[in-house]
Amino acid sequence: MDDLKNRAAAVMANIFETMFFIFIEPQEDVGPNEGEGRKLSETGPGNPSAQYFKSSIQVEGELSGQIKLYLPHDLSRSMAQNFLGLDEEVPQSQAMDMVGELLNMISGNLLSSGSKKIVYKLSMPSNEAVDSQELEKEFRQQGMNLDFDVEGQKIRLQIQLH
Amino acid sequence: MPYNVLIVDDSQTMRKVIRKSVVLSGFAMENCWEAGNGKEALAVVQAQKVDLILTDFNMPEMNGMEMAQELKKTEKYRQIPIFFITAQENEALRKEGAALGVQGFIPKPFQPEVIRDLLQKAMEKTGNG
Repeated sequence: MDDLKNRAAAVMANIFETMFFIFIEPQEDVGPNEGEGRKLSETGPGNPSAQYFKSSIQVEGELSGQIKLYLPHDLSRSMAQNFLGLDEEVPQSQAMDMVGELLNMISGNLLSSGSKKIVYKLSMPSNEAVDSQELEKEFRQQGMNLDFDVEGQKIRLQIQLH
Repeated sequence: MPYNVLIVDDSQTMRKVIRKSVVLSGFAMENCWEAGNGKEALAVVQAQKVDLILTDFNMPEMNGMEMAQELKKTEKYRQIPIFFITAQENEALRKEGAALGVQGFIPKPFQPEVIRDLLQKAMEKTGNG
């Protein structure tokens, strides 16, 4: 479990630095989730109705399940804007597409970091906007949660593999 | 000599980023076509002059490997260098790609200079460099 967590943290750091030139800080160990999620309002932007973008990928192979990524709405938009080298704000659809592609990179790299001999089948990312209240419910699901701080905003990677 | 490049990825954002990276890398690009999956890519190849293909692997309707298989069946398109730009790197994928004659793999995340060096070498090998 610790190995997977360490690899996930390393993969996240590499992708954010290489593709987005952003340094991310892993947050204190939230541990395997046993039904209690960390309150997003404690760590998020402080706005109970703040939106997040969520992306999910289904995994099939030696490990199966899903991997989810939660990014604050504002951060997603600014990352997409920088990613594309644009001066103007990007539409929501483009920001969500970026979050999906980000999760695609994270998932592929995470699974490959374990072994390059194992073949996994990954679904297309499924993207949606969620609010903080919905997130609290999601974070209470079983799985491994890794939180990261990016410029004062929280990102969560949730790994539900078995 | 500038090249006609086809970028294939189901993510519009990624297609734009790859295009930008190829331009930033200094690789000589004359035209850049885009496609959202392998099927669309085949239509572009039939309609336009394509010198090089950069493709994702995992896409709906027709993935990158299936697209490469189709292109390799046709004499006219067999020589077009194909690179996979993919986050999934495993030995089986590399073996299958190598057997098909795929030119190389560019892992995601990537840096523009990596793209430039790989593409330049590939075009030199095909005699178009």
